[in-house]
Amino acid sequence: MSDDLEDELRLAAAMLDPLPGDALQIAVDAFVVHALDAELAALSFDSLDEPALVRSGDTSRLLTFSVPGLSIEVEIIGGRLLGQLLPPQEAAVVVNGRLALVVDVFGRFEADGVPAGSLSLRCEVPGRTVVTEWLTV
Amino acid sequence: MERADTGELFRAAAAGDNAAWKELVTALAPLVWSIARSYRLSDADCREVYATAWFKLVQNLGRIREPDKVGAWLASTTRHECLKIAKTARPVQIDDHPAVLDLRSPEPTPEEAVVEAEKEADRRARMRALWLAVQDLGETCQRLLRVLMTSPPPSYAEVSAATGMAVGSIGPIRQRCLARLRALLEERGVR
Repeated sequence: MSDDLEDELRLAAAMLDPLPGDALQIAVDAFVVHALDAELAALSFDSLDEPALVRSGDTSRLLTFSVPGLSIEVEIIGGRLLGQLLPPQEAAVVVNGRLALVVDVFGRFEADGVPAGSLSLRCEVPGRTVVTEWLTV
Repeated sequence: MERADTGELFRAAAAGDNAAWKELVTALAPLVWSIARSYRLSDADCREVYATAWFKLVQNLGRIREPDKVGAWLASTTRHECLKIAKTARPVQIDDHPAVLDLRSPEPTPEEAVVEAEKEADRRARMRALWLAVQDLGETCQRLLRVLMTSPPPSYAEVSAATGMAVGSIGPIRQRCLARLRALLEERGVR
């Protein structure tokens, strides 16, 4: 009896809440973006992990990604991305492998129209390439 | 349905084997999707979390120390993304899903296949009743059953990573949830 019910539930899940049609392709395509040459900058601060006091009710998200010798600070407010490299330095930053940004001499960069979804930055500074850990914004 | 050996596939994919990656995706995509769904996120958020989990796995191809636990790694990554995004998003009921809404207004029955269509309609009505009952079980049971009912079935280690429940408590909670579901179905006169 128990097995019958579970079989039916499994069928119901497959019928009523299936994997979307394009989902397999999204995951298959992810394979081509791997960059084993780059260093991975782990998320070291996320305002979403902080108590509400720090989040202060607005919709901005503060993120810091770090590798030894370089931090990438990012603020995202409603599709606008503001970034800062620490220590400040000139670099090339690319958002999600598509959108190339200009980094000024103070290590600042910005972009508009960053859609909600998966985000990763690729950052090329003299002598090294760093990519930030993917996350959902 | 048996699932492929995900550890083997992961090792091959990490060595650059495209076909192995595709097989790995086929084996584990339903699990990643059901975890996102189990946290009652909107459709759009589910898709973002799903994509992020796979991107992150690709990024960590060379860094995962225990390839045999790649399913649990993905499950845990998906869960963490869900918990974070749930803080920013408005949770929705799973029965907002379009497929379920469609079932509430079934298509008119074609005259030439009335009997078959009625059988099919009965079956779909029963599936819908089951599914809606699961949504009414409460968060713990709803989440556990949604993940357990993935095809192909996940391991308990993966379910544990997906739900945050200890492996040893999954079996007992599963039985309790199924018992509750049976009682609810009886109460509603389903079956």
